[in-house]
Amino acid sequence: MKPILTIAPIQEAYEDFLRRSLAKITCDLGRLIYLASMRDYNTGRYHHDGLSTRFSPAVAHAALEMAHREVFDKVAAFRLLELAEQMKDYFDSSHENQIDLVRAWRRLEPFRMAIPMNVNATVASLFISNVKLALVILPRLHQQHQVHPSVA
Amino acid sequence: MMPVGISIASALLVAVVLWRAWRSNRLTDTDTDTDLHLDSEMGDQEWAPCPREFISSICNSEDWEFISKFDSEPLKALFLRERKSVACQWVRCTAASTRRIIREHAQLARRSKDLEIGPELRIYLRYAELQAACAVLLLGIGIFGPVRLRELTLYVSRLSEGFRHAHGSLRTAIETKELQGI
Repeated sequence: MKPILTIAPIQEAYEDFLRRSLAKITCDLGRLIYLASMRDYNTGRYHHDGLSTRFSPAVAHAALEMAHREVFDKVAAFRLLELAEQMKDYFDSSHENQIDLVRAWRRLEPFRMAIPMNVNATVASLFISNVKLALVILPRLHQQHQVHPSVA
Repeated sequence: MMPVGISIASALLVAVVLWRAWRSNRLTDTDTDTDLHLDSEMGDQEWAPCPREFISSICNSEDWEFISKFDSEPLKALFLRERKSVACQWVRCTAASTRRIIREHAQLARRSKDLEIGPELRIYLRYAELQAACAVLLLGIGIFGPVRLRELTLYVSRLSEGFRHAHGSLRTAIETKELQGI
């Protein structure tokens, strides 16, 4: 029998997670990738040791799922310029070569794994489409910055 | 003789344009970017209507203006192709979920012993209107793209919400009567 979860501990776990973990990540795209990385690819269950210890694995799963969905909705609603800027911040934070990262993202499309389960099909498509466009825009934005450094 | 020739030529031209639009929409069917399944495995969230802020995003002109600043034809073409693909998928999802609702509604109506003709007729008329609007929109998106069809897109979205609402009200009424044993 599945354990019955009440909202209060989930909300508490969610806020705890936002405060302790998510707030340390500077951009929303980074938060989204981080949240997706906590999900088991096979089962779709979220795991976080600290949160599971403080609450329970079931509560941790529900709280992480909630956080994932919320961050995803925010990122999926970004305008292309915002998304390209978020992508730049995320790539910069990895300290890897941006050209290599863009190439890997285009080929492997890891952003597809960032979509939460049971999300609206159109919203998921819009997200994928926007990320693919942002990956094309990003090198051009970089070029623009080099040619016209004053352009924001 | 001349007007007849012009009419035939115009009709042929329109047919070719419509055929191309239909064909381009057919091609986006298999587009791996947007081809999320409309099958029985879809959860309730996936059948739920797309929030209006996202529909607005699909056809907003802000992104198009941003893309236009790069002055790159391949980028513009890619943007239009992507947006068209997402918009077509939304229209197909809307039409499919409407069909699903009307099937569910027909099952409910068959069970009901005390069916009111007026509201039933209205919901079927709304269904027909919505399906026709989806067909026109799909064709329009294929020809003009979603950015130019913003108003029609939002109209279909409102129509779809109204249809869901009308079905929800009728379902509640039928189920209440069933519970009361009428």
